[in-house]
Amino acid sequence: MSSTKPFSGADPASRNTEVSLNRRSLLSKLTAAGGAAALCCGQSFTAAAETSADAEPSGASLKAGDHFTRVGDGAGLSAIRLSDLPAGAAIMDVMPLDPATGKAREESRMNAVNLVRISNVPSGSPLEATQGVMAYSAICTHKGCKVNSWAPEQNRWRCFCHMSEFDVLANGEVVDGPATQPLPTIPIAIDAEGIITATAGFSSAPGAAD
Amino acid sequence: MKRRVVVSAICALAAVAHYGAKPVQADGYSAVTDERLKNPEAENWLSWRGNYGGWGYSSLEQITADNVKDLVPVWSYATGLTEGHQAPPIVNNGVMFVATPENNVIALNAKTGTEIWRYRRKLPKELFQLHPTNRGVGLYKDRVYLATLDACVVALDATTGKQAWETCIGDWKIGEYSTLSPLIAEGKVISGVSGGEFGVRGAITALDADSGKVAWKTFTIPAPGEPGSNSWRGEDWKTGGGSVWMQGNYDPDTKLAFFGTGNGAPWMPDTRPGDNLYTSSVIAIDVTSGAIKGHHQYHWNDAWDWDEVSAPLLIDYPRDGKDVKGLVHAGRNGYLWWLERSKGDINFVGAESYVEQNAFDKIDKKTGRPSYNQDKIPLLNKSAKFCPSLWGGKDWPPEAYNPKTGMLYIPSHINLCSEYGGAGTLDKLKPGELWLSVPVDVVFASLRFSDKVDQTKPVPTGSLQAFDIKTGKRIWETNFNDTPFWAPLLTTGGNLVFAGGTADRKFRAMNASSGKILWETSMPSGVTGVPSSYSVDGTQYIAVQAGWGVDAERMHALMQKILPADRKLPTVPQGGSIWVFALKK
Ligand code: FES
Repeated sequence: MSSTKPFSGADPASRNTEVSLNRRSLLSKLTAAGGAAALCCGQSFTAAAETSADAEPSGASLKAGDHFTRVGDGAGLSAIRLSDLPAGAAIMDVMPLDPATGKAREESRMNAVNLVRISNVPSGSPLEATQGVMAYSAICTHKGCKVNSWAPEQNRWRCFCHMSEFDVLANGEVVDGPATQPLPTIPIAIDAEGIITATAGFSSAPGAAD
Repeated sequence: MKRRVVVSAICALAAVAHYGAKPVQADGYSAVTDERLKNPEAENWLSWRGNYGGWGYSSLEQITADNVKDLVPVWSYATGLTEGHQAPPIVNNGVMFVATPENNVIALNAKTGTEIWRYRRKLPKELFQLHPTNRGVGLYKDRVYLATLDACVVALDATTGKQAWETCIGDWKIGEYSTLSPLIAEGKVISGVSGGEFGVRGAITALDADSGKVAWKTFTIPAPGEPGSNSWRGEDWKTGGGSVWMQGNYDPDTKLAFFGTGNGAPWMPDTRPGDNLYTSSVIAIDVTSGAIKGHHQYHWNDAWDWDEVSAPLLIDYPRDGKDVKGLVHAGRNGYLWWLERSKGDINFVGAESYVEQNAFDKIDKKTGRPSYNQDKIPLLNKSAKFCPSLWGGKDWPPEAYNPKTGMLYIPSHINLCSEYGGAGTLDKLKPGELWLSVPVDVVFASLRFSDKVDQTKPVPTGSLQAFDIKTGKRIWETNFNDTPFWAPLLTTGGNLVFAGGTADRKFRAMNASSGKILWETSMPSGVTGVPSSYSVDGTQYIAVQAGWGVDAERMHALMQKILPADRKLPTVPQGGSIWVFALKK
């Protein structure tokens, strides 16, 4: 029991020390731009950092007009068509394909998408327009694993990591497991050539929400 | 008049509240020395299992089998986080350090629960967390050390929480991550990476405690030309698993640290023919150089996801008239292993199953090498049912050893089996993506009851077992029906064993001599935290985190699928909290 050191206690100033390296660099940028009052007292200093950190983009860059493609299977980057998806089947872990460049938007795993085509589309349902095809973020809203199982009997996506399950017919709502937020969806259309096409970006930012 | 009374009552409340929120009045922080880690004081809990031997034993004896019925909560603290709260409250002279999911560390006054500081690691947004948990901090000198989910180690000032240094020892983008409590030995902070499910190659890294500089890095899987490398085919070693999930135990006399290692990757054994050293093993590492001085492989070419994650306990025991300087390990593979440690080699002494185990045909009496029942080995193209389940006889929750009772306590799962097989073909590894070789749909539906039990009645699935260290025989077992049992153990000088782990959210005290349940209390969430004990100003406390998640949650989900409608498990809410108990005054 050699050296002793006094405790600084729980005064606000000591909270500044919680700021991690990432935040610190973020803060120095803010300060340089005359942003947050970084020289002020601990509480508001920390609060400014939290807000800025939370506003970080999720990394997803999928855009309206994008197609979808399998990557890394050596098959070349062809756009996935309605004809690739039999009723009841899913194609998991695909990436948005920018039709202008012919390149997959692979820079972030947050772009990963699962496609599914449900069988027995009820008549009058908006799903008739896409013949039962739907697109969801493949990133689990629990802790960010890839949602990697499709249960056709129940129309559910399932995530192996902690067994969260999401209802495909209810906008990806959580029906089981520790996730609390629904899976983001992507509105889609089938174009004249039968290519599955995004008509807008993700309904909310993909990634772990908990 | 009435009115005035009310006002003064409010003032009194306000005064109390203010007093309670005042900074802790600790007059100093006691540096943690090598000497203290070797001989920790009874009033403190300085490392994740309380001592280098991994015992999970507190010699404090104020709380006893006779008075434990009077145990009441003294304070509690909400962490504000979900997922598996597994770390023990670690205590040094009245200051408590608790690691939580999301790699937060909270420093508290151990007597009052007042927060002193809180560290929150900024984890990468794209990080995927297969095991969103942490098993505790390490203490050395005036610093607190944390291993992180993005495979780094950070050193924090114990008095302020300020980060002194950070060293990353792995690459989270390829699936490497750390959940263990770092082992502190001889001025080094020793951590490791897991990620077998992502096809990583396990490694243990020692950092200089002062500077954070890497002292050595040792892979758990040898590269070509290194000893043991001929147990691998071709390039398989590069993605072969051997994860380091849990803290090592340490023998200061020989300067050897003992680490358990994970299974081979991917799961199906025919994707990586050979013994696959040093997967599912214990390795003895010289903490000075990082050299592997000895090993014992519990089972070769694993087929069952039986990581041998826990380090063996350093317990000396008599066998055949001889005193053995021992290593004792309750294997995930369902066998209780009795080994002998030395300056290098690890010798086999004996092994016997402690749960139903039908994958091993027999164990070689001299070497301890098991031979297998072929029909219990799943392959890429073949499904098999085997017992125990993929979570094994005992998963990560640590055993405990009580030198007073001379018993080893094992938190085990019984009557549970698994059935699965491979995907037919092996996908190419995509770095950072799950790479199991078994379809995940199959894993979702893989849990089975043993054929030997009557499933129409409640089935004992959790079993706390006590073994006599002298004879190696089971003395008692306390069973829990139809529930996961993820119960890290604490045993004390007051003849008690503390355990949670069940789906009914109870935290319990058992008589260490008989297994009889003496006390239990309901907690806000399931208890999968490691309990600890300490004392401040003459009062003994029992501390534990509640906070269900990770594998307890997974087993809960799979158990729901096999339980009949009238025996479904209760929902276990998530949400972490720290609880401290003492005898009613
Ligand atoms: S990351 Fe999907 S259930 Fe946890």
